[in-house]
Amino acid sequence: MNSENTNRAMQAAFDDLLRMSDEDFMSTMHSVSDNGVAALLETAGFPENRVAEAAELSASNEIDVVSRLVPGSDAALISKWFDAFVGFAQSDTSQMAETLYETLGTWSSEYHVSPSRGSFDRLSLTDWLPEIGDMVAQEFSLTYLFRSETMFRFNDDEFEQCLAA
Amino acid sequence: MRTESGSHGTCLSFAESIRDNGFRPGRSGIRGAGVYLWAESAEYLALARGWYGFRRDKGDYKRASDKECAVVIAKIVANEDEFFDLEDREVVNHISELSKRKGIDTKNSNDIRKVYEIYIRAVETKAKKEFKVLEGRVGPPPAAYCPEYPVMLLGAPFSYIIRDTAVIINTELVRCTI
Repeated sequence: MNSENTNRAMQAAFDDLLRMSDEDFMSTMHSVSDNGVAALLETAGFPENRVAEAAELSASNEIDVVSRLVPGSDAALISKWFDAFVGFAQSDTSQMAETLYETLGTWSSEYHVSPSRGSFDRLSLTDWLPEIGDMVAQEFSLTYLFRSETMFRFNDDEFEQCLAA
Repeated sequence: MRTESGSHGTCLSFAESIRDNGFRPGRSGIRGAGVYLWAESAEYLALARGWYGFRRDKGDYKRASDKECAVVIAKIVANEDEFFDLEDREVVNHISELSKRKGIDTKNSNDIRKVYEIYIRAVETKAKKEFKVLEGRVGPPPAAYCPEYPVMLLGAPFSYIIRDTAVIINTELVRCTI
């Protein structure tokens, strides 16, 4: 049970939210941080429905196809993705950026991808930790992106178009 | 002050990191961002072990140096009014009504999370305070991973969602075998 004061606040908050126009409400929804995958896709310019799909897949974490990504993947394409991720990480000075850098370090070491930007110098690849923290592993994992079939659902043109943006 | 305890299942490497460096709140939990703990009960260790098993089989500990099961028992202390009860009937009714009226996709866990976050933030604004701990029911691991938890009998287990890790005053690491 919440306190009487909290109950009054709940009712007032509920009334305010209901009074919001649908447009304002959706805008507020949009302002809430997405999970890692969705935020990255959004930043990379993917269409909104694809972002939502990725968010759902990532959150449910029901798809694990990591083995499909690396073998035979196009190195140039991965490199573009990598740049997009670095750019995204640079745009945020919060803990999320720190996590992204850690994850990128792990990923690049493992898959031998060389970022084309000097920005990656901020990372010390030799220092990356195999255990990148509970948050990355359990709640906010970029690795979901590479496990997710989402990447493979984009047709080539759409994929290239977004990456080129 | 109110003192509670909860369990968090993970691999030993991550558990050691939590013990040494503290928890880092996740962003994508179904009830919003935070550290998710199973509330202390007869089954809370089994739930944590079940969660570990579920995530292990998803491959989440592939990179961990020690993939063995561990449970972190966290003790939390906060003022009573810093807890927010998600199972309060009014909260449930508000979330339900809000979702219907605003056309929220109730099968989309990301949208569900956002509705909770928006609602709780709005309540915080009105109440002029921050809730450091949410308490509510969260779905258990799949039954195959946690056969000890009688979900048909008890419903979804109670959890604490820690939004401010400063309330965690102690962690104890328990190694487990599965």
